[in-house]
Amino acid sequence: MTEASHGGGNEPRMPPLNEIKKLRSDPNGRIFLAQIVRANRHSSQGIDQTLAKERLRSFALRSLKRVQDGQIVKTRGKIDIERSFANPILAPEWDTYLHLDETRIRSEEPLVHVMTWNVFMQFVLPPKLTEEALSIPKEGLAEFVSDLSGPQFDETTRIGIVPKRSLNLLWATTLEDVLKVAPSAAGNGPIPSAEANALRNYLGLGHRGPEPRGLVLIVFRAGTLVNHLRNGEKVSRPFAFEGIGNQRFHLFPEDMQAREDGWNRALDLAGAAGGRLQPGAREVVMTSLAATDIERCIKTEGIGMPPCAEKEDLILKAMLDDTCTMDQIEQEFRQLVETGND
Amino acid sequence: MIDFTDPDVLSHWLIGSAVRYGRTIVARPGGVDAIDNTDRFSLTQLREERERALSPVPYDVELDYPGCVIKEIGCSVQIAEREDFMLAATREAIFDQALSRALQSWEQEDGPAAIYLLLGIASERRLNDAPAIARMLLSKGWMTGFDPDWKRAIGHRIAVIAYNSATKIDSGVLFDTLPAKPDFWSYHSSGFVCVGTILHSELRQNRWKDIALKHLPDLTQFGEFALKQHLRKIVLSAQLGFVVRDSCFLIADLWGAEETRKPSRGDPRHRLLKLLYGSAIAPITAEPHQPRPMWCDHDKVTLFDVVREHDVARKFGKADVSDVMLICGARFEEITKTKRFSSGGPDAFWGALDSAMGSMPSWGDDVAETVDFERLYQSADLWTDAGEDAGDKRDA
Repeated sequence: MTEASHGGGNEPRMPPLNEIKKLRSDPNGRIFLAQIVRANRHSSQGIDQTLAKERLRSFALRSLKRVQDGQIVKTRGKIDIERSFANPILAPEWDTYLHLDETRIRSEEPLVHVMTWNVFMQFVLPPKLTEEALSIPKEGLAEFVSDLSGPQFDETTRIGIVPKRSLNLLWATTLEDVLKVAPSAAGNGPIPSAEANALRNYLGLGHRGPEPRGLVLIVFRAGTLVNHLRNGEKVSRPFAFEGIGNQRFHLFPEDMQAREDGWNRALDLAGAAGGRLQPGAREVVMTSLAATDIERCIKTEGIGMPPCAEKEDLILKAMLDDTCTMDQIEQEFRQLVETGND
Repeated sequence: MIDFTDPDVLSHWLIGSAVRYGRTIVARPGGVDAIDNTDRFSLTQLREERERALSPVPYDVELDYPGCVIKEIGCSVQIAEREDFMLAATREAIFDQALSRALQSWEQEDGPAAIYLLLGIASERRLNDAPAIARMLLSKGWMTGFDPDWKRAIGHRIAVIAYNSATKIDSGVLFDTLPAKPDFWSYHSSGFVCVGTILHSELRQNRWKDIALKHLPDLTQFGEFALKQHLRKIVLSAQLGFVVRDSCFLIADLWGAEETRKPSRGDPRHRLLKLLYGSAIAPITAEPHQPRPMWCDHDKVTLFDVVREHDVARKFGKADVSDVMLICGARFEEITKTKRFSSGGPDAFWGALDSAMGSMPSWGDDVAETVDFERLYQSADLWTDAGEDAGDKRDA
């Protein structure tokens, strides 16, 4: 395997090292470098290591080219990773996913899928129900949502990573896991904002900032995903690119356990000072699910807390463990982009 | 970074961004909200247009226009907080001032989408001036010539704004005028206007029924999920005890004390009772002869307490509370289609009585006067017979 699988021909022959320095001088640029290095380390555990590494290299080179060409978008004075680099690959490619490990999850186990209220309204609810939801005073929305289940949704609607149209997967995990921080999810009512806030931070979504309209938790059986698998689609956790600049995803170790030094932890730190991740929390991320498989929906109250202003430093701090310095990150990044030029 | 220090600059930005962003949306047919203008733009174009429109505020694909702007206020306020707590409060105040100016300086040429979006922020932030501005917008006739769906979408936003500050005088005017403006009205607004009117009314406990009846034709156009929430909100706004009381009054009007009349099926008052107690989506759980009280969310009352406390007997032209309990109980059973003594036969009656007695504050003289316990005890057997008779009649 010598050919880069994606767009190899258009890449610069020599990696523009000045551009790496430019990235390093920006808080978000540093995160970007660290993300790719982390992804590279994880790629050694993937199903198709060569393909993953090659894609990662190709992506890193394309990104450096964009820096060189000045095609960088800045938000609030810092590089906007998503808009500068990740745009073209935000919709993940189906075949780069890892499989859900069926042996780890019982088919009856309830899983929870978290999305923003806005996405739920725009892309998941059928238009008629969206209209009705818009016609209900806010206080009734949680009840309205909790009355909904599979049969109320369109057969064609899918939840999860639906290419292009809506990136509505924020997070997915077991209900058991969610109950640790949001016990109200066991009932039928709304999840109060304090619990919703804790849940957001626990799931590593703190960087997203306030959700004035809250989140929607969708409960379904793990079994529906397994059936889904047998139909030929892949169920997965995110890998490599999907984590880059895409706030919906994060990287975590092979054993699917959240760790103190995990990406989840990084985002968690970014979300709230003193926010703690429970060690050993299980992490599951999956692919699309038919909306008709929904067992029940739970709405959280709005989360009113604004995002942490200095999140970049916190993320970086959490990503770089004791043994890894920024110099090392740069070194590994260079190694990655240079390998393909042998 | 957007300038949060000068309300003039900020209001100028608000108008400009709303106009530009407005090009990317169209009113949903029927006019309850707006959706992506996919006829004119591809998804990539939509995103690019919105990024340009919102710049320097970042566009978040998972948020709508008000969501993006409000998120930015959150960021700005938080940055200010680190420097100076007062500064943060000032920024919020400046933003609201700017929003208020933007709403007032909107002109017809700016288009319906822009005012729709600005009203969306105002609604989300519960802007103090919003009902007054909405009133002004409606009265000036600037919207003539706009697409009918846009007018209804704007009307819907205004209904939400009025609902959000239902007790304001301007909101009261909006509740009266909106339904009378067919251009701006669709049944989608009726839930907000109906419940808002109840909340606005000083005598809401006495007026809820008439207000609900007035909006019933619109409300029943909703699907079951939404209708349930509207009914629930009506009950909670008027308070469950008063709703049950007025339901007893309605029973008196519809059936009469002597049980000789039958309400006509088309009578909206009968329909209201059916919806509140006897439909699959009824917000009130009513099992009048069980020991259990009637429920709506966390509110609960017993029929016994309602009949006793609100002098329902007078409405029936009777002096005797236990008689009236019998009549109302039977009618609630008919409405809810629950079988009398379905769980436990006559024992349930004693259970109900014990429960009713348990809830009494004290054994004062007034209680002894209003409730003829002797008669209640005696009636237990009679009651069973009456129930079977009533059941037979229904079956026939």
